[in-house]
Amino acid sequence: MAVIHLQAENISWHVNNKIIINDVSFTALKGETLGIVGPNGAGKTSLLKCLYQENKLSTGKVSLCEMSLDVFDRREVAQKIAVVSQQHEAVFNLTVFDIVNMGLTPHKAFFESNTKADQKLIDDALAKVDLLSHKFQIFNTLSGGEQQRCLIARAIVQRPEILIMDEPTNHLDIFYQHEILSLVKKLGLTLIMTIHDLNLAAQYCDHLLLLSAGKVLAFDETEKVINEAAIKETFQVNCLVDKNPLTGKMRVTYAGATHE
Amino acid sequence: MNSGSNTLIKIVGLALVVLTSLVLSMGFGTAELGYNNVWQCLVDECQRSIYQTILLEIRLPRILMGFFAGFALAAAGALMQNVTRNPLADPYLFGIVAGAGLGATLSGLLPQHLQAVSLPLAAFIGALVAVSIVVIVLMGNNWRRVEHLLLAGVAVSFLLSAFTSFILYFGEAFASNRVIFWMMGSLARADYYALSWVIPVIVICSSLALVFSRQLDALLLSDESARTLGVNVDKLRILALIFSAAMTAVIVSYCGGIGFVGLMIPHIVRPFFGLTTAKLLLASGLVGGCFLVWVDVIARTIIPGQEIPIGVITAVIGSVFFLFLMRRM
Repeated sequence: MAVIHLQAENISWHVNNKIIINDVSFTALKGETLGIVGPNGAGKTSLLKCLYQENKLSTGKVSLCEMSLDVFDRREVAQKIAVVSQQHEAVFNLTVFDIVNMGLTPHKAFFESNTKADQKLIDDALAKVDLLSHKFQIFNTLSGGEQQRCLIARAIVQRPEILIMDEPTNHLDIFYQHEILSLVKKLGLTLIMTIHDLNLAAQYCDHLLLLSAGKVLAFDETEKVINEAAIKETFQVNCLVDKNPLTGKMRVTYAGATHE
Repeated sequence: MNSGSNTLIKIVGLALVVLTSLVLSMGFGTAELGYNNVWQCLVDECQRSIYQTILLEIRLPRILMGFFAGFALAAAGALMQNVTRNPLADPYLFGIVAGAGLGATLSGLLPQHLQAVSLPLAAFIGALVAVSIVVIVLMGNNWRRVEHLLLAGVAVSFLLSAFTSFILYFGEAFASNRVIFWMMGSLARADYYALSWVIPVIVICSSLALVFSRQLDALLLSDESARTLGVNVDKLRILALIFSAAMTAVIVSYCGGIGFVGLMIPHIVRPFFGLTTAKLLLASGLVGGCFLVWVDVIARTIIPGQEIPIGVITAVIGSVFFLFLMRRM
């Protein structure tokens, strides 16, 4: 029996009377991967920010294991939910170690320094994302894929139950797209991410939430959400949906924009 | 690479340099005493009572004030640069010097019998007023953007400096001169009473900053990233602002405007100690303290029998050194 890990009930987010997120409800089951897909400007990133309290909800509620997020303080939420947002440029020359070390913040009391176990945790996380040899390199000098892996290492050190990622495969080549997604899937966490590429979504996500203009158009198992009619309606592209002969998952082949 | 013990060695090394500087700088001054007398006074008893007066009553408090002023300004600069993620942040940018200047001007120019408060106290109140204006403006703005902190500080500085200039322009010439000299910065006011105010404020503020160092480090990437790590960003930033404002204000009120230390020292320290808050703050404080001790030696010996305002020298040395450093950065 699958356990509901994170639940959004009728959440809305308004900015200056403009409705960005409109009455969205969904659940994420323990250990599954939930993908949020939709065209540009649909509100995917805003929806994620509603989940990790960066956007203050106008209505509705988000709960964690059936407890409203409001009952937890910031630190307790940070012990349960880690976020890998889109690429940052650091102002100062932070090293990879400096950034991964930040992951310990919600677990440490004031003035508590790193123990041997913490150092090992950091090294293990770096080894997992294959950045151990870059431990003291400056973050800004890393490639896009390396920066993404560094932030994932920080999330590993944060030891969350839920990992929220915004476009984890953005700017990455095909190898790293698959590398990153299979890496985070192996962590065994509940994973909620926005993703542009429907073929990657089909391959890695258990459930998909299709978002358009702040509203949920579909929320179901991946195979049921990805279909020609839905893609045509939301993305305005003609396409063919069949099975990928190599993976057995859904495959989307695009023909071009519908108005052409 | 073992960064932990490496840093410890470097900090201990710095502390030794500081101690040596404190002792060596006692040998400089108008009266030629010689190091054998200095050493004897420190470890044993002075040969003549005049030496004791010069070394322990005049030079030592001044040297200690120089060290703590440099420590406070550099540590406050490091703290401000980290919490605003702005390498140009400086404790003076919050209107602290301008506010202190206005307070000092008001107290210095009032007729003697109306001077309810001393110049340092008036300067301290002025500094607090300036910081409060900046904080109130930013609270109305919900602290949405870090850059606003700096912009509001610059605006408040100009406003208060304009008032000061206006008052000085119409003020009595002798009193105006006194205030202007004070604003250029000087350690001449240093005595044990002043130190008894300055040292506790600096020790408390910098150790509080060290207590929150992990949370402060989490701010280094972005505000949102710090919030997802469980940090209450707004509260922490106000707290850090108060710590650095208090450290700066107490120094400014006794020593006047000593520019460029808070901006420059953290930039010199970063390549050697990294940029995480605890290391940066301690190392900046020690280097800044050492720097100001030697600058004061120059200020009181370079022209025999006359003292140059220390703020003038820090600005000259600081900016030239800084430009040189930037060429190589």
